[in-house]
Amino acid sequence: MGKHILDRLGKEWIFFDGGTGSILQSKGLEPGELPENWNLSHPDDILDLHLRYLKAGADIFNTNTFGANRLKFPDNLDEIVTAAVALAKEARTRAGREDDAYIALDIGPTGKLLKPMGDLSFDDAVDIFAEVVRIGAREGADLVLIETMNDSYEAKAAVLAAKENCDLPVFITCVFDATGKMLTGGTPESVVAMLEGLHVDALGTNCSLGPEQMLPIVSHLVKAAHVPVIVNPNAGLPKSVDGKTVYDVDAEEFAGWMKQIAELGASGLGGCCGTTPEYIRKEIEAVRPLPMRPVDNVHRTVISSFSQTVEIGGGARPVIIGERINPTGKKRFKQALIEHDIDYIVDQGLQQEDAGADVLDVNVGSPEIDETEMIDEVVTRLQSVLALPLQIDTSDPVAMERALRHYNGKALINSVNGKEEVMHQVFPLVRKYGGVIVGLALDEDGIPATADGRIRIAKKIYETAASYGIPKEDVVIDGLCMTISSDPNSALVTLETVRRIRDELGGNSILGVSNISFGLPARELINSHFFTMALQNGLSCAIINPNNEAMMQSYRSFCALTNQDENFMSFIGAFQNYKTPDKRVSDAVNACRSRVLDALGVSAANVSLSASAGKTGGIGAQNNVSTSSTAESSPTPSPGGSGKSKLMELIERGMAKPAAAATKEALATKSSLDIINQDLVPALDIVGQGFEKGTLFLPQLLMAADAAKAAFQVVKDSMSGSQQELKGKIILATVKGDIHDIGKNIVKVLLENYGYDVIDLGKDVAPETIVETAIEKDVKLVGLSALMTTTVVNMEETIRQLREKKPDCRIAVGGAVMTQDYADKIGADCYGKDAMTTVRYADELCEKGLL
Amino acid sequence: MIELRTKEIYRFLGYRSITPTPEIDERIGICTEKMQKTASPKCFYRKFSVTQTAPDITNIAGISIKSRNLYRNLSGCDYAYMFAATIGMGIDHLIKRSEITSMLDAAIYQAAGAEMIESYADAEVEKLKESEAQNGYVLRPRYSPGYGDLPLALQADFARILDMQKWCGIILTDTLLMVPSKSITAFIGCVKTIESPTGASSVNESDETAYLADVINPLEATRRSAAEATENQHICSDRQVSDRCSDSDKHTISNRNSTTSCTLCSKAPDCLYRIENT
Repeated sequence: MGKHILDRLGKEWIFFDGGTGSILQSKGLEPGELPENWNLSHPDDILDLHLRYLKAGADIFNTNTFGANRLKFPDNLDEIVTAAVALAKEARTRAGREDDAYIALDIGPTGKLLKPMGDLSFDDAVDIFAEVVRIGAREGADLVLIETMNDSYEAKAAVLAAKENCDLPVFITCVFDATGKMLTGGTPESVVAMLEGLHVDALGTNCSLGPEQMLPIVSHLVKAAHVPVIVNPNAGLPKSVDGKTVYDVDAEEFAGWMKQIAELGASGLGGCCGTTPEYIRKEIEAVRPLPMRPVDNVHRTVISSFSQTVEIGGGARPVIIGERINPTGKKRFKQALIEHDIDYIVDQGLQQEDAGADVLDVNVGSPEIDETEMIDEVVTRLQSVLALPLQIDTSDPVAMERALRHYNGKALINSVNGKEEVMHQVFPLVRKYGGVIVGLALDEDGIPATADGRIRIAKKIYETAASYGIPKEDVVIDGLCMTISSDPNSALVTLETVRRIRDELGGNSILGVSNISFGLPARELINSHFFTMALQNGLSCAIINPNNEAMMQSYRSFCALTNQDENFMSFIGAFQNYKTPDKRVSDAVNACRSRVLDALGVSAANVSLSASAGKTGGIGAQNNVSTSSTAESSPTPSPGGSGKSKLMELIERGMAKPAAAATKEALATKSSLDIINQDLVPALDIVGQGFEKGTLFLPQLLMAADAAKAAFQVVKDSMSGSQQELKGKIILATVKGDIHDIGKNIVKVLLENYGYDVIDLGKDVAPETIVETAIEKDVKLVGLSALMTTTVVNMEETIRQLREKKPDCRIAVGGAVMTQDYADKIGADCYGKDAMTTVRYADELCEKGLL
Repeated sequence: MIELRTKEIYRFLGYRSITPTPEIDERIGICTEKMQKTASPKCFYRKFSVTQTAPDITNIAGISIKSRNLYRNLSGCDYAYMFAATIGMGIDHLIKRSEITSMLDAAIYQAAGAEMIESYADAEVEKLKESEAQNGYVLRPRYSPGYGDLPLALQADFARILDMQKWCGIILTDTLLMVPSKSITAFIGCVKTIESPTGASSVNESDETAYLADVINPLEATRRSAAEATENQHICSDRQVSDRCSDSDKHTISNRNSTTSCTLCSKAPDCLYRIENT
């Protein structure tokens, strides 16, 4: 054997082979037939295919194993892969290329989409790939080529499987469409960050597009990557001619484009669908004479989600890390953890994203719960609904590993410190999964009182990280914020540390800013001013509450003042309707006054009140006054009367934010329970009746439900810590095999608004899980949803098992496919014909004391 | 930008001669704007010759399909397209996200997403129609697996023959649902135009309904295929198995939004969205 492939790749042009399908089809492969079967049935044709590519000059050629996995070949996977590698070896020997041609174990996508969008779990995906890797490595492949990946999460699963099951070099190419995105939203930058974190040896793109359309994608890849870039385009775009797929770029033209791609900086070149040995031969002729341009991109500090990257330091604007997903000092959040209310936690994330966070810190450590399970679930849920990169925040290495493994990107990791033991626990995880690690400037001797001491620890952290192969740019130092109330000098020490991390160490820094004011009143004043000072001293990222106005005002002002906000877009976007505090107060007073006058039947125009009259302060907030912006403005009765409260009207009209504000007001004079029973539920009832009668349509019901949910959230916040009175427990689930759950979710929101404790088991739920939960939590009502006829049988099976094992449990069924007739046939107690029926049924059971 | 018909969105939302409030119109506006930004429509099709043998067997692309409805839909066709289209995964992300923040938004995304894939597929088919017209062919209405007695199991054949994952990014779940959820697969028959003396095509629009699906009782129809899908034989042991190899009725076609065909469905009044039964 000659040189190792890694001694050549990136230093000289390396050529890959081309398409397989079109050649095999010309040899008689039927459209849709699995080509891997030909390793056994047509070995001579596969051998010939390899030989032709080797003769054309390919350095790396693929085993015929693209679709070989246990999902497609449950019975003979080993045989198929073994034969494929043997044929490749045989071809290489026959071609006399044993010294300079390399066999790539070709791994394509599983053909399934990973959860939560699809139905294959990440761990199962790793398993499926691992099996192929083990066989291929055992049989003597020279490298693993993972290709045609259109989902970054699946790509991560495949790379992990390769890394964990062999020592071969791992190359990977992903599919981007003409807009530069992967199927699940990944960009060249986001996948480069993740894949380099996982230490692939080369990366790039293949398939889907022709070489011309790939040019912009290749530009992005070579700018972002630090490992060699591979480009294997199709022979242009496909067209269907008489049932056959043909491509619009010939070998000559292809070679011309590939020359351009090589000049952009790609160093591994081949072809994909529609290309033949002729294409590869011409490509080699065109590219080989060109001078190589080695990759020498600057190393930057980058983290990523499945579709976004965030750069830390390196001239990028300071990064805002939202701190709200953290139970410390938050009763309501702790309660959500204990009640397993993941939606509440995820909603905290969405609010922070709206408020301007770039990254979300995720800390769910609490003694009452299993942190590993919880952080896994929260990270998985968060990354299914938002695209911000996450900061995995835990001191438990087991929880950290689980979260990193299932994270779809390159995470920020919080944290390690200068303690030897901690460093040796955490750095191997960072090395394996990739990520940017936060290093706290403390060690066995505690937190140094001086900046000198903290800088010394920072150096130790950098050095130890380097010994694990973690470069300096993947470490961010936390200079530590200690409250000034216990040491008046502490802010100065922190600021000096931050400055020296930048100036002396050339590194990036991070601070949990709000610690600085602990123990003082008016904390946001101290926090926001300290924040500006820290930014001025070079702080690269800040863990703050982005929902806090004062903090974001400091931040946006700082960015505007330091030329880090192009055209002041962010500043203007946030503050174009800015009002001074005085103006806000006078607006509120005026609004209140006109409401009262309205209620008294007096037109504001008829009363000459000077602006100063508002300052007499005689008019207080009256929460029972109608907002009556509608024509009828009748005097409103007091709460508890027969008329509608302001809150009721707001809910009926579906105004979520005002409803939440009105609930806050109402809490001053009413108990939580009274608000639920006298305002929330009656208002929903009115809307529900309108819906049932057909005078309102679904969106109006949902708007009201959203408003009631917002109001309910306020009530719940006020009650957190105290025992809540709930009407009863109800399980909701979409049955096994069904992944459509909007109907179920609508029913859930309504039931919760009516005061029920809903245990939402999600979608695609096995009958056994439903039965077990019902028994374990002694639930008396189960709601099942199915949107497809094919899953009605699973509904029936669930009912059968429930009847057998939990006979006192009632069952309501619903979903587009259901009718009263079918509900009766499968033995349900209630047919939920629309969103309200299940609520009515639950109320009925509740009244009878059956829940 | 895919043109969306507001009336259709209302219809998918369960509009029943109630004038939507300005607030709802505004929400729809905001949601559809986000959808337009996130949509990444793709479609792919291949054309195959068609032969038919009685009773009810259609041969296309190397497969033989027993379906009375498809037989009728493709009768007289020399060729048929196998067609797949999607508006991409972005809409599914929007739906997931809004299920936490606002069920109203989630419902709007569902409805507008259904309209968006319909509208996109219509526009793509229109292009095919124009090019086929030059060859002297007209197109039959799209006919999808899961409609009438056409088995949903055919989704697997579409996935394989069109290589849907590669060309459209459409992937099937174990239960034959398509992801992205706003996706369509269909057969589109091509029938030779018979020129009338006026030069107009003899196939007129009103004939189209003749090629649409029957409505079938899903419980009866689904017995066999569901048992097969779950490999759970006892599921069908207590009930007579239908002879037809069918999976689903119009109402339950899962891959298009479940409301897509509501107006033609007998169960429409009881549907989640309560579409007007026309």
